[in-house]
Amino acid sequence: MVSNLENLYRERVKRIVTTAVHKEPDHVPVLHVAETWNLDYAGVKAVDVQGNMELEFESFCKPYEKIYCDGVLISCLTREIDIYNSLGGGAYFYSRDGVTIQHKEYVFMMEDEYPKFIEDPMGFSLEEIFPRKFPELNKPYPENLEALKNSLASYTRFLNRLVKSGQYNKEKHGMPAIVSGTGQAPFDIIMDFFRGFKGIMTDMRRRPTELAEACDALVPIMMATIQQGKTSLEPYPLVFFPLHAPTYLSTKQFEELYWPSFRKVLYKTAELGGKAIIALEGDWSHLYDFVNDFPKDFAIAMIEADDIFKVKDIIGKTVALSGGIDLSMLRTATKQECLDRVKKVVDYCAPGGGFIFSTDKGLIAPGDVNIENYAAVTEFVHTYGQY
Amino acid sequence: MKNDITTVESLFDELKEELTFLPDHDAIKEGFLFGFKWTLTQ
Repeated sequence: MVSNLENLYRERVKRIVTTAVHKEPDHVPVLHVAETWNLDYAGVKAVDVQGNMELEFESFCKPYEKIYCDGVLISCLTREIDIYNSLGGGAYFYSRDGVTIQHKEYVFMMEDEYPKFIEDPMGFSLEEIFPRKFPELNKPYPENLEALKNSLASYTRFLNRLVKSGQYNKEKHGMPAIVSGTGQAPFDIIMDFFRGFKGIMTDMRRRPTELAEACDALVPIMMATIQQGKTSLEPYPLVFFPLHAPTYLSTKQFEELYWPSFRKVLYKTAELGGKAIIALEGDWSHLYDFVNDFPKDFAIAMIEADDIFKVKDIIGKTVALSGGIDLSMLRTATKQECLDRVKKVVDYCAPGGGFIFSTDKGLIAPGDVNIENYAAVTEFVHTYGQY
Repeated sequence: MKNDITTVESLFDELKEELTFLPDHDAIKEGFLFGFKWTLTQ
């Protein structure tokens, strides 16, 4: 016999997958996009839940008592800092107050190392970058191996945590965690983990051919991380692609350096049967033609700085949209102003399906939203957004 | 010091012995370690 929570879970998933392919579900789905904000809402900090999965999962689910949602993008902390700390380095750390997990940019690859990268990106990363990044690997054997074993133990715990948090959401709350893996655009990988923002902006001008070849060399690696050993993909849960650089690129730069390799990743993912939720970070108004070249009904596009009404008209038939209200409005406007805004968004974006209501950015810090406003709009969308 | 440990890759090869919770299949263990290497790349 199927339990009420199992039924609730199925209803919510159906709501999301139906609207993702531009069909009308029973209600406009509401997606809760939040990470460490959840912990603050529950009265704990990121440092408090380290090594305590039960507390972490319980805290991540606490906001469900107050807000309505049909799914979550993130069901637990998405980084395990000990994986990196065990090796003496890494870019992730707790904020001074212990509330959030932050990221610092390091540049470990030099501009003249593209040929080595292009020849074998993973081999180059292992043999050249890892020793620069992780001091423990430079210790004599077997000290370096012991450090790597400790890091592996943290990684194993991390994977376990990711799987169990999804199960916890499903079994205790009937709540879908809609993402099962993360993909990235090759250009963003080189920017985020190898050359840094300043480095890649220089390379675009001085070494465009090498940069394009390096992006292409990453396509098989990106596909291996998305496929996780599988020969085909399920349409649900979704692959999450956060796209970082495009808002800083001109249309020409995007077309020549970002799009070719990323397009291959998107189309290969689609050919394997997968579907995606893609965060169009920042302003994409100069890049809508490329979004219209995404495989149709393949992706939910998370809208951040773009005008969602224009977006609905221009790219809304190719991709489903997720968005509708920005954090600053939820933080500073009155409840009525928020409700008026959300009503307009639902009226415009919901007909025909292809729309999920969410905030424009993930909730991270305490105070990112006025919780009363957030609760009011999520409840309103669920009740008013009935088809 | 063990003489044949000359590369980072060879350290990762030694980790296969730690993966007792996985089926004893080389491709599965290599897939798991690939995910680990990728996470460390980030």
